Amino acid sequence: MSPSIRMTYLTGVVLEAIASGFRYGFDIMDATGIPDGTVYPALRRLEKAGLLDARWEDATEAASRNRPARKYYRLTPEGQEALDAARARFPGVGRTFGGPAEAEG
Amino acid sequence: MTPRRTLSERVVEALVAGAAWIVPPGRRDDFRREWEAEFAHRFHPDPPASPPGRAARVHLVYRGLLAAADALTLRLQEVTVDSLFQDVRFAARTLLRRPGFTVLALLTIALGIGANTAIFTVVNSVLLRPLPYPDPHELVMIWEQDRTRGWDRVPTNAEDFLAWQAGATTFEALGAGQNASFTLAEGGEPEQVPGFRVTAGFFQVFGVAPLLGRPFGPEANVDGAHRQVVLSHALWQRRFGGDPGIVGTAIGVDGDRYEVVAVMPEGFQFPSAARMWAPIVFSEAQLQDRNWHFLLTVGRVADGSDVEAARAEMRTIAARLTEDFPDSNDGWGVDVFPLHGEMTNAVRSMLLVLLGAVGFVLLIACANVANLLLVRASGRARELSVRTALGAGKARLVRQLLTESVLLAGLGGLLGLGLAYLALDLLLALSPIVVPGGGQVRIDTWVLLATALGALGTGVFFGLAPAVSVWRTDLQSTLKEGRGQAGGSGRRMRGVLVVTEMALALVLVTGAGLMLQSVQRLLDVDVGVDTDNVLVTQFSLPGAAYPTQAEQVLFYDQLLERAAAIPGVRGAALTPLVPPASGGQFHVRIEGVHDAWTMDLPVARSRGVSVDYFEVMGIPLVRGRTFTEADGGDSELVVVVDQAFVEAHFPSEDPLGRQIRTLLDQPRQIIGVVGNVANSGLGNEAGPTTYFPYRQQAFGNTMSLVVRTQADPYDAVPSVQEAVWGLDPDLPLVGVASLEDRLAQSVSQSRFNSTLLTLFAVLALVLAGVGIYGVMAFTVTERTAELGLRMALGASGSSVRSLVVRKAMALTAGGILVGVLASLALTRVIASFLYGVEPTDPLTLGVVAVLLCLVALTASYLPALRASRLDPLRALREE
Repeated sequence: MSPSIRMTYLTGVVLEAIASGFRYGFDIMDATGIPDGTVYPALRRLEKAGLLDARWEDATEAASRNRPARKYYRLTPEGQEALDAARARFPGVGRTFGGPAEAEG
Repeated sequence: MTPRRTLSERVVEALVAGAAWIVPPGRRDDFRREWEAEFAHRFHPDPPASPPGRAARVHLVYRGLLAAADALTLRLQEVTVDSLFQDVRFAARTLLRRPGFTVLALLTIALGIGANTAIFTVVNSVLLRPLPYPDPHELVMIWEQDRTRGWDRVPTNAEDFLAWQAGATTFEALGAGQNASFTLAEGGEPEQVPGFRVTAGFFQVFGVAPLLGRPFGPEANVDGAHRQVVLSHALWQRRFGGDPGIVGTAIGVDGDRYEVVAVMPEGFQFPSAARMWAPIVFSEAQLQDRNWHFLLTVGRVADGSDVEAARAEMRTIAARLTEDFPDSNDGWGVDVFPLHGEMTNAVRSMLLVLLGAVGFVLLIACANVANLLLVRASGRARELSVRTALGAGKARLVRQLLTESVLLAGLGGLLGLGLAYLALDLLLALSPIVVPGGGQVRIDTWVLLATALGALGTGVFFGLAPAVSVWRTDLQSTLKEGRGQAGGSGRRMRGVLVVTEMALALVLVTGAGLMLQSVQRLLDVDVGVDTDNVLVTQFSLPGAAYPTQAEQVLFYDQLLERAAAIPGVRGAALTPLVPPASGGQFHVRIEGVHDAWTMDLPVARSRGVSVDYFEVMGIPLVRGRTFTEADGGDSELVVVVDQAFVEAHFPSEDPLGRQIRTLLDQPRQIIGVVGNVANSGLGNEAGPTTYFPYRQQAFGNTMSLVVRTQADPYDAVPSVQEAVWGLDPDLPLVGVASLEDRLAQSVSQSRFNSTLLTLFAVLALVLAGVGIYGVMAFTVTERTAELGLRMALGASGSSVRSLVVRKAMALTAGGILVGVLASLALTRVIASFLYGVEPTDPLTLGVVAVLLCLVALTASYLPALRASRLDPLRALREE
């Protein structure tokens, strides 16, 4: 697979965060500790490159909790491959969140 | 239930709404929903835990600001490479359709950017690039200050330096040195090599590792151990062919053998002229006389300290020295300055003036191209309105126009870069530019970056005017009108641009005019000597070969005899310094006026000259007599003073027969008064000068032989060389030139600066002329129908002509008014470079204003002529 995006440490960390279960934009900002201003642009690029897939939460469930539906991000199969490549290339990425133990997506 | 909304929540909401405006319409909703949901989740957590605290709210507002970055990403994702390429292709086609316009615009931009790149390259190399030494910000120069005379940069004396070295803790290293000239007799013809005699700390200060060997340590600063030398890379290459085994060998220096202990790497140059360094050995006299200020001091501020701390500490030490040695140090202070600034002080302000001048040229170029684009935009109003009617948004049209101007600027910038390359070669050939630390003036990454940014900025800047004009125009109504016109806003803007151009050009031409006059007045200065047919040759007698004054005097006497005997030579003389070289000043005690040596004694320049000096140089004798052969070493000590000395000290008395004391504290009798000579550089107040016969008082071992010839002084060069080398074949001769050439050389920097400024001024004037031509030509086209009607109604050709010219002159008058005001405010920045002319010289301003009017008249005459030759019928039909 050749993603149409330059794999950097930063994008690796974002992928890792999502794989670790931090699926919302602000949660990723909090979890990764990378500058807030770079997270969303990275998400947009990853989504455009087909490594991420964005979905809206179920609106009724959100409404039942008295808040608007949030958008969450998942890794696509290509995203998973890219993450593996990133882990191989930047060993630090895999350790960032204590490994991909509780990955869910 | 809707929870209560806090202020920070509302701010965030507004920020997201604002950012959403940037997002392409198709994704705007999604964007807002996503960001709002994230914020809602944070402001009202679920399950309802504690609401965010103050710090958390501030952080959320900060995130709200960052929504703009996301929005921009989304917007840029829409701008596909394809659409950009399309824009560029379309812009290129448009430019190619109008080759005349395109070439004119490109040339204008290239000239503007080229001039800026060239000057910025120099500024970057000289002022901005850090010194090529480790941690260059730690390097400083330390000067003493003579508060009584208001001199803020005086070399220090040996004892104060040693006290600093012993007492200062804020420095990692301190070094001092004295300029020297070494006679090198190894590896070729004998040669005078500029150098620096230094304390061992000097090399420590710079922290530059030698290429070969090791610089000398403090043990070399002792008489007997001092015969060591460090070579510069350049000298090692040139004289010794880069011999890798040079370290450890002995070479002939000053008639003695010195051991080469090290070769410094390329680029190590301090002071700028120095090519070799040898240990300094302080003489007994230097160590005892605190009034002997001869050392330049450099220092490296220690880690953990800074220039401010160093300055404070040095001041404390200086205060202590003043207390301990009030006789010599009272009224003296000390100051510490960053080294880079000290090495560039002399050129900084002129370089900035030149940078400002080319900045003006670029502004004029921008205004010109903006004008051309405006003219073209109004010509294209029809095309643009058709495209609007077919569904193109205004934003798209503006983007297209900006693409065109940025493309123009980019191409112009590339051309300009090429021009800058050529211009720099020329510039450096005309005037060698010394880069502190010995680097080269070259185009580097920073220059390229600045040029690219400059070109981009230029493109946006001159593209804005037509873009704004299109934005404001009601394109629909344009379509309904017969002829497409961009209307009044474009016309007004064109007027403003031309007035601006004229004003900028006036400021530049005024500045150049003032500088040119200064150079001329400097050259017109009465030097006080007869400059025709005088040849000057300088030499230094090496101390090892001529150790005593008697031996030196013998050489001088013999040389004069030989030189005077050369056929075609009318007279020969010796002097340590040839005007306008200045040399140091010494305290003077006048018998009967000053009864002790104090620090507030007057000062005068002093020269030990040969008997015939005044006659050979054509310096008039005013009173008394000059020296004779009888004024030798054993006879009464005599002195000749100049008129400035008499005016200062004997305004109403007869100076003849009075006694004065200066160097060596010996009483000397004034025997004559001579005319003033420019002994301190052209255009500077020379101040009093005293002359002694060299037989009574030698001034170092450097002398200049001056010979007055009957014909071209350069014809005498071989015979003069023969005369010197017949006495000492190892003696190098330096600076062989006619006195006239030397004087011209002394103003060459001013002349170079004023030439550059003039060049920019001419460029500005031409661009402004082209600008006014363009506007008038377009006005005539635009008003063809009206002019035709006037002529059909009986207006004469000349009245139509004057209509056009009047309009041009009205714009010019506006430009002159603004320009004169700007000149009055701005020419002050070159005041320190002017001589004999005021920065607000009304005559210069008047002449420049008239010049500008002439340019405007010429530029508007062609369009006016065309207007007056319109065929009324055709003009009317065109409507």
